[in-house]
Amino acid sequence: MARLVLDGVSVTFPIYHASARSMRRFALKGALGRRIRMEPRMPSVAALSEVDLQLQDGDRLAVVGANGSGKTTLLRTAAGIYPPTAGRVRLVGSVTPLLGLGTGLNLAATGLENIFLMGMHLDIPPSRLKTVVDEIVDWTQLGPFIGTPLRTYSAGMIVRLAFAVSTAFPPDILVMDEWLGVADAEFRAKGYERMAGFVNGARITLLASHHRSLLETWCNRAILLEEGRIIADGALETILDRALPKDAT
Amino acid sequence: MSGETGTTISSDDQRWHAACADLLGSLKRPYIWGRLGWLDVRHRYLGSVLGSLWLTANVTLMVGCLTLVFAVPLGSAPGAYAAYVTVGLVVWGFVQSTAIEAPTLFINAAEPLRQCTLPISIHVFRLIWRNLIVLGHSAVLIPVVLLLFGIAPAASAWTAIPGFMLLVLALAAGTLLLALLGARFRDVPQMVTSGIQLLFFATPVFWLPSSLPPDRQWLLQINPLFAFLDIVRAPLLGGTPAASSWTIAAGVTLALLAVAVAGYAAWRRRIVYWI
Repeated sequence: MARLVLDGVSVTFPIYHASARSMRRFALKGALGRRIRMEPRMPSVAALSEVDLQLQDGDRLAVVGANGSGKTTLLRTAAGIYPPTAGRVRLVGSVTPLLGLGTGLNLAATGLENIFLMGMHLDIPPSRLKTVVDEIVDWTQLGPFIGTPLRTYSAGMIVRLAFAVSTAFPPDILVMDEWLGVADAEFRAKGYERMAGFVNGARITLLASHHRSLLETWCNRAILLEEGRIIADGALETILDRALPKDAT
Repeated sequence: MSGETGTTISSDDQRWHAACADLLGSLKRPYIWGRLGWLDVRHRYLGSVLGSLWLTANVTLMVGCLTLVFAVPLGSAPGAYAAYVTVGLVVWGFVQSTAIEAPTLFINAAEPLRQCTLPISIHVFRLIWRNLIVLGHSAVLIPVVLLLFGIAPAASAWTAIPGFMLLVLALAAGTLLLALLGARFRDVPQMVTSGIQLLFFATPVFWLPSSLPPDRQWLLQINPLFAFLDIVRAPLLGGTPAASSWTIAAGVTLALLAVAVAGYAAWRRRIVYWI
């Protein structure tokens, strides 16, 4: 059984000035004593504020909200990448974040090498990845290109390769932004089939997107973020109607 | 991937435990830093005719040039001096490239650090491994020079191996520490780059310890890099390291390890906010 619990989670980003970062400032601060304030308190941005969230097997959460409302920060925090500055995140099960196209891609390496590079960044051991390499190569239909460096690929070919590797092994907890879903739409039925197998294999899914149809396809619950707070949590349609009216998409 | 028992991530507790788990997690994934390290070296020389042999060519030219200029003024036999300077430059090259790359390590790895759940210290292992590969390319010159000038290693030559392992351990701890500092304070990369240049001249890499007058010998005593160089170089050239060298090298390594792990435990969670 997989579980993901966020308990009063806040994430605050300090904004380091060029001067605040310098050792000169730090040393001066030490020499003059901490009571003397050299500058106003370091400014910071509250990206998430007191977020509570409980997800269990079968939950597929749509994360919606305007740009800058904290969607990506929430995904990264849930995946364990940003340690919360207050509160706690509890994860039971393996977690794989899929944020942005193919992390670990190397343009100078061949398609085949990139399969392993991406796999490493997804924390899939090569021995396990080897069992599906042929299937991945076959699915991408890259033919002889699989042995040439990635910089000879078209953008679409790179997306195909990244999509095939990313969807090879479903984790217990899947955390993704919309690139994967958008990529899936490009491959029509073939992509949908692979994506469905992948998402159904995961026990918990978090998907952040502005695409209503994408969220309707893959999710069964939604939260709405505004300025780092969850302002609505509940049924998918209700929240999508509020955040992404049909006219807009 | 997290274990089935679950992980808790919060702002306050289990810092030591989490830092050690991170380091162990990297040790368990040699296939990741191993392959990434290899690719780093390979891509640096992609498309060049000599390729990674440039590394070997570089140190060969340096040895030739230094021997030509300094062997006679330093009152040393050219053969013995060439062997001395070869080992010195090979070891120094390893120290220097590691130290210069360390402070920008986490800054340059910002993308994977923000997108992946891999242990953060994997990048430290990758850097050390990459520089070990580079070192391998120049180290092939050592047996060649020893044979060429008929310098027989002493029976105690094997002690260069534990000496070298101690150096690797110290550099790994130092890399972790510099990477942490460099991520937070952007002056550190510049400081290290200019500092390491000064140390090259202050350390007997191409000059002999005996060429320092007695009243300046303390310069060697306070330079831990000399101790590390000594325990690797002396046995290979048929001599014995100074008595204090092993003690200093072991002490410095232990201290670096302690400080690096403590710093990692304290600040690991902040790295992703700093970069």
